[in-house]
Amino acid sequence: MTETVKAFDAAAARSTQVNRRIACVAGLLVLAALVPFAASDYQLRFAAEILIVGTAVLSLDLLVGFGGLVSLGHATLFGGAAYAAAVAARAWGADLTLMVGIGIVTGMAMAFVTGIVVMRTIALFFLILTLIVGQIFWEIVFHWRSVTGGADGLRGLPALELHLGFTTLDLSSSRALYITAAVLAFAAWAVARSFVNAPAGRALIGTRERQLRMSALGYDIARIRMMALLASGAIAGAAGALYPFVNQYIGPNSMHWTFSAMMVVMLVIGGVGSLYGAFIGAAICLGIQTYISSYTDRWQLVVGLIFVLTVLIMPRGIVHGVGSLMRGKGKP
Amino acid sequence: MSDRPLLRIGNVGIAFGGLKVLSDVSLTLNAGEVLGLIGPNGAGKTTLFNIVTGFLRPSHGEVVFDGQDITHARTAQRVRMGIVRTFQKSMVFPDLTVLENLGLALRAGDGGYAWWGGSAVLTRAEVRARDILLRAGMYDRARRPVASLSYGEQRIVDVLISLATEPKLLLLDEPTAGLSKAEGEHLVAVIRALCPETSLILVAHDLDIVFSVCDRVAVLDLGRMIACDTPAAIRAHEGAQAAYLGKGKEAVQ
Ligand SMILES: Nc1ncnc2c1ncn2[C@@H]1O[C@H](COP(=O)(O)OP(=O)(O)OP(=O)(O)O)[C@@H](O)[C@H]1O
Ligand SMILES: [Mg+2]
Repeated sequence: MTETVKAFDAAAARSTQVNRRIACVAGLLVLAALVPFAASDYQLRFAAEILIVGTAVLSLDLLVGFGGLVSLGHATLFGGAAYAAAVAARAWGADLTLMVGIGIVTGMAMAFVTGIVVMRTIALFFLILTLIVGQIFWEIVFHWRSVTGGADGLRGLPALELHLGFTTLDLSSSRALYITAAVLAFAAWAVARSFVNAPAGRALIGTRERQLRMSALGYDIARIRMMALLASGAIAGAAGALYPFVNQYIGPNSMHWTFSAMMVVMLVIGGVGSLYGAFIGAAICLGIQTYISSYTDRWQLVVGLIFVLTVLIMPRGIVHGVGSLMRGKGKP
Repeated sequence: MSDRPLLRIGNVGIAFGGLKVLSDVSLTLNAGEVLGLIGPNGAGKTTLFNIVTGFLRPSHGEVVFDGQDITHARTAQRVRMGIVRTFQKSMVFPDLTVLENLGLALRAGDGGYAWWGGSAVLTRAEVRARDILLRAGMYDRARRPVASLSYGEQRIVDVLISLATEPKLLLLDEPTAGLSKAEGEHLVAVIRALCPETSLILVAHDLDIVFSVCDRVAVLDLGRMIACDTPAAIRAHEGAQAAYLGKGKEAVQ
């Protein structure tokens, strides 16, 4: 067998997989494009929130699903970037490019600090340390009243807009916000996918499966974990940058560890390791929070119940559960 | 076979909480040599591998590889110099395909951390992986998850992962455990065929395999090197017999 045959085998096997995925993605895009014609202003804002929080949960999936690293500090990256964007918007105006840029840098910087502390740990220690680092960030934001507004948070942000050189687009309408969030979500998904398919992402999976073997092959485990944290922080930061513009408000709860825990819950309900399951989990949990909390304060109980049911019935989350139902039973 | 030793272990010792696991172990290995390492359970064979590969630091003694003192070098550095090991327990990536198992090994020193533009890296590794599978007679298994293979095939993949990068020194920790005699011999044949130049240290409880493939055999007992000689000499060695051969320990595992 020649080199070319082997290379051809390699390429062919990859392309069939790719085609099916492209069809799936195209379908979702069409669906997303139809939403603005059917939804009210309020619903559009809500859909934007789902996409933004879902993007943050997707970035958490990089750590949990591909690295086997459960973080309880993920909201801190998201919320921290949101604060940075809000503060910057009040100082320099809310240009989308600037906002997302600041969000990404902030998310990565906070992920880097977290990474310095946690990159040599796994399992329970990783969980606890991310929680502690996250809460330290939360304390800083909570007590730094002059900049962050303390417990009150920040209100009254300038309108989100996009400077294109020759013209400026106003993105303050609900529809524009939704479209911006949808583009962000799609871009984040594409970046995350290319990360997990790149050598770095595959090495991350290797550390999840067999850390010792990876060390014996010469991989630097801490470096791989740090890269995953940075990629995750960048995506969470980009999402966080849009978050204040959903309700023209950002408060300390967006950085609290309970929100981090909620992100983990969303991820488990949606489907760990699927990436797009993050959006389904976010839609379910935020939907319950928004629509059930008007009837009862106990919406968290409902989320908890769904969480338990998912874990019992579809332990790999809704996307896998539904997927294997459609493919018929028996297949894993 | 050259006279300059590839690996020299000098008076290495290590203790775990007062328990001396290795005491003054010395050993030299020439380039291209196949050395058997035998000894009863708990003799310290795996511990010696851990020291040579940098998973453990000896409390005294030195490890010299290719003329360089690597006693305190990190594992990754030793891999770059050409020291790779396998583990006593199977350490394949069970959910990944055979190709990807080898791909991870091949990319460790060649673009394994790339975020972007990794497709050249991936293709390069995959072509090399397919070549290895072809030579190992497992080309038709390329796209199968390792967990779906037979136990014997999984053990082969386990070893292929380690020899994929053609190390100078390969440490094999009971690669034939759980295999039938024929499977064990096949595995050793595959190893020799794929990297005939590589020096091997082979830990095995199956003495027939050890005596037939090894140039020399070292016997460890209770953390001491009690003999290191040709297979014929070891067969006749009294201390080795007392420690190991006479007891029929190979039946234990
Ligand atoms: N990390 C450790 N901490 C404490 N004791 C250890 C450690 N590693 C090994 N030991 C002890 O050192 C001794 C030698 O263990 P080792 O695994 O090297 O033996 P072995 O020759 O590989 O045995 P086997 O044939 O069973 O694999 C054993 O008594 C073991 O319990
Ligand atoms: Mg052992």
